[in-house]
Amino acid sequence: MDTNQYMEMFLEESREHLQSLNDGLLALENDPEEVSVVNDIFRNAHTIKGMSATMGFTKIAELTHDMENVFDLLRKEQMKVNEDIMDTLFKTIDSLEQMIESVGAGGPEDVVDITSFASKLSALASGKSISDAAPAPAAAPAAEAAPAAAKTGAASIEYSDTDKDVITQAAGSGMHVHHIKVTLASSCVLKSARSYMVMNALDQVGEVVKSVPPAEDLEQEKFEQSFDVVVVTDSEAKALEETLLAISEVDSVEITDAAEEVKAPEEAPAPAPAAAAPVANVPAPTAPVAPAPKSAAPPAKKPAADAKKLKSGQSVRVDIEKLDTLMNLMGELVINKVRLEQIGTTHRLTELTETLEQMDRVTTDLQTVVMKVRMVPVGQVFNRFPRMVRDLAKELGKELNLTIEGEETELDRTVIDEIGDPIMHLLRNSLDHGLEHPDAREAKGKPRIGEVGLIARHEGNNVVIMVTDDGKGIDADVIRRKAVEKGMISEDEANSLDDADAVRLIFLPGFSTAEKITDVSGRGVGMDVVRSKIETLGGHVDVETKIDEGSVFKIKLPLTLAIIQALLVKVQEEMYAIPLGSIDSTINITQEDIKTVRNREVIVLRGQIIPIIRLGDILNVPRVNEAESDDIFVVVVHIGERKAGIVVDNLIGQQEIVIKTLGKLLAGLKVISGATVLGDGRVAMILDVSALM
Amino acid sequence: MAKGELMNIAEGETQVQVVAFKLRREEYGFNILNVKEIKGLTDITRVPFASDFIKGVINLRGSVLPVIDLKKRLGLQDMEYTDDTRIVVVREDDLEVGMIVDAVTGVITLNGDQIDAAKAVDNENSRFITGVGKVAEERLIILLNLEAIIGLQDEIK
Repeated sequence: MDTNQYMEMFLEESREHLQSLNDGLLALENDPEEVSVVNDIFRNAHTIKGMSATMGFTKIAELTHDMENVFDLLRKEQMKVNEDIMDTLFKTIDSLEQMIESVGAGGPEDVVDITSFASKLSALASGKSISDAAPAPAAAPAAEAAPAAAKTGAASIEYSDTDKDVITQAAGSGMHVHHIKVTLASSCVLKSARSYMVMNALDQVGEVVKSVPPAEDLEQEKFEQSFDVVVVTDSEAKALEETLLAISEVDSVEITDAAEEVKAPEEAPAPAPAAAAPVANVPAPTAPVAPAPKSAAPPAKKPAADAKKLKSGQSVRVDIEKLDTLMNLMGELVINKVRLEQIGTTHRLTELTETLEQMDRVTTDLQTVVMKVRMVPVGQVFNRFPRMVRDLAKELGKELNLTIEGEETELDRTVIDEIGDPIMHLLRNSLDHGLEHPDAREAKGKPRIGEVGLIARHEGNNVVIMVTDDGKGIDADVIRRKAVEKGMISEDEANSLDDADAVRLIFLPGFSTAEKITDVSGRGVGMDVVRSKIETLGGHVDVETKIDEGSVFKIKLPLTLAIIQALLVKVQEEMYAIPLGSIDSTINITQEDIKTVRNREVIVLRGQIIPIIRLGDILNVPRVNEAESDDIFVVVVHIGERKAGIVVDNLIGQQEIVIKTLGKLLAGLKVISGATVLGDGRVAMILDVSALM
Repeated sequence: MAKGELMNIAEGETQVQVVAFKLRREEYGFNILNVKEIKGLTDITRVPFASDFIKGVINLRGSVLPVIDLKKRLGLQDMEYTDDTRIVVVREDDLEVGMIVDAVTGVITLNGDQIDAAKAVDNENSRFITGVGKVAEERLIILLNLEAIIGLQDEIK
């Protein structure tokens, strides 16, 4: 079979499954009792095995098979999770990744020696007899007890405090609260459909306040033969029972009084009476609700874990190039529309103008959609970090807890592709330099386990990504001393810097404060690389720190690289775009306002001396108009704290522009960061303000 | 003559089709496989700090396309643009560039024996030229080396 055409699909899907495996194992490591995740990752492993076998990659399939055996034992709870197992599994996944990438690049399968893993895995798998004899993990009896309990009687569901309140109140107001256990026929194929019909029927007569398992799981058929529902209704139990039994494939319906169960949880769950309990004469329980029965506790765990899983919508994979083409076509469409509008206006064609207005709405919507299509959640980048952080922490002998927030925050695809490395650098830095060793932390009276956070969120028109730690912070004096030692600044300069600015020195090229050079960070490349990368993305990075409390590295990025707000200015006959992000204000001055200080032209703005830049001279704009007007337009721009005034001939206006690269031939031009196509179809250069200053 | 040419095409092993165009009074050609399209002159935006032979950029259906002033690149004397002036959009690897030419004269099929590599003019421009095609007694087409003209390698030093 020619499998080449499936190669790409195989690679993409394998990567995805490997990522899920990584995530799953991390979850398992954090909570070894949570055996349910093994079920999920077992499926991932199984799929990889199947795919690679189909593709003819027997080695990958073999290794996955061995790993699967271990998962199987874990999920059957015949083996208990321990560090050794986890490490072996993680390493196996790494090897799988290498093998898959290798075949992806057209190389051989066996880039790694799998025999050692294979033997280790099979040793683990065959070692089950030993662990069999050992006491079963704590979770095992609990997890097994739960379904068992569910089978014995209806009164096996756990009521939360809120549930109890609702039930007590409803019963108090004279409503019936029925606990219904519905058992479907064992021959039932479409369990979800039947459960849906049951829920629907109940919804019509009353309100479903609780179901075990939850409604989502019912929809996904994540239940055995029966499920429990608590419903508040004014119908009698008998009537309900008849309604439900009328639904085909419903085998039996047991109805008990939920209010009773809540009131007297201590009482042994009596076998449910076939007939409904007399409900009408139950007095409204006023006594405080008793604690939930202990035996009923476990079942809640699995649904909770499932709910955490992100809902995966339907999606298609699209080559990013196609999206770029789509975007270009979109741009062309808009430009042509503008031309048609001009024709309509000059020839006074009202019918055309009206039609074009309609079209305008459509194109605007279309443009938004095309833009949105390019946006991807940062989670795509973030999801590879937990594993990296885990490995690194082990290597460094540090203990920490990584919190990730805002994975759903969206960024333009082009930014996403570039942002991974800088974030990784910052995380490594936090782990290596920020966090102290557990003993040192304890000595300082901090918890042994450090906190590292990776947080993304929207802030206005930007996305902010923060890497936080509660480590030792950055000592401004140490930075000052190092900077002077390295001859980067003079002693006086160092002393004149305030602490915040001194700490920012770490972003300068060639700065490294690591006492010893480690494999992790501290090679003297790092922070300056991070900064330059972020700045090429049009963002910027800053740091806030407090000694012994920790540091926060904050990356601020534009929402999208493809479209920005810009101010269009004119110099002679040429049009330029200045990104709005770096503009402070625009002012109108006269020739007299320009002073000369140390051979540089400056203006004084609100007491601040600002150097001015004559754009026409810098860019060698050919002079068409010799006549110099007395009115001078100045665009005041800033990069960080530094300001400058750019002198232009005319301000055209603020506009959203689509950024286009100038391509290889014109790469690396100073002062010009890109180009854009204007509404009239002409091209305007976009200025790189930081290069101007 | 025409018949003879057709026969050659039938046997043809090393024939090549070129897009021929004029620069001042001479005729030049690019391999047709490199030519993407030919378009009329549009607004060209000057790019500050770019090499002097780069005339600027144009908007080609929403993308920004650099345009080379081919006469300047080959060291020929400048000439006013006319109604015949065209931009030939060429492609080399993944790089697309527009070339300003004085007029496009047509597509010409040349056979291997019509191309004389040795005839390559020996001057400072020889690196831009791959050979000379002889169409008729009085009609010579100078075949250009696109890679050298785009000149990524030697311009970035």
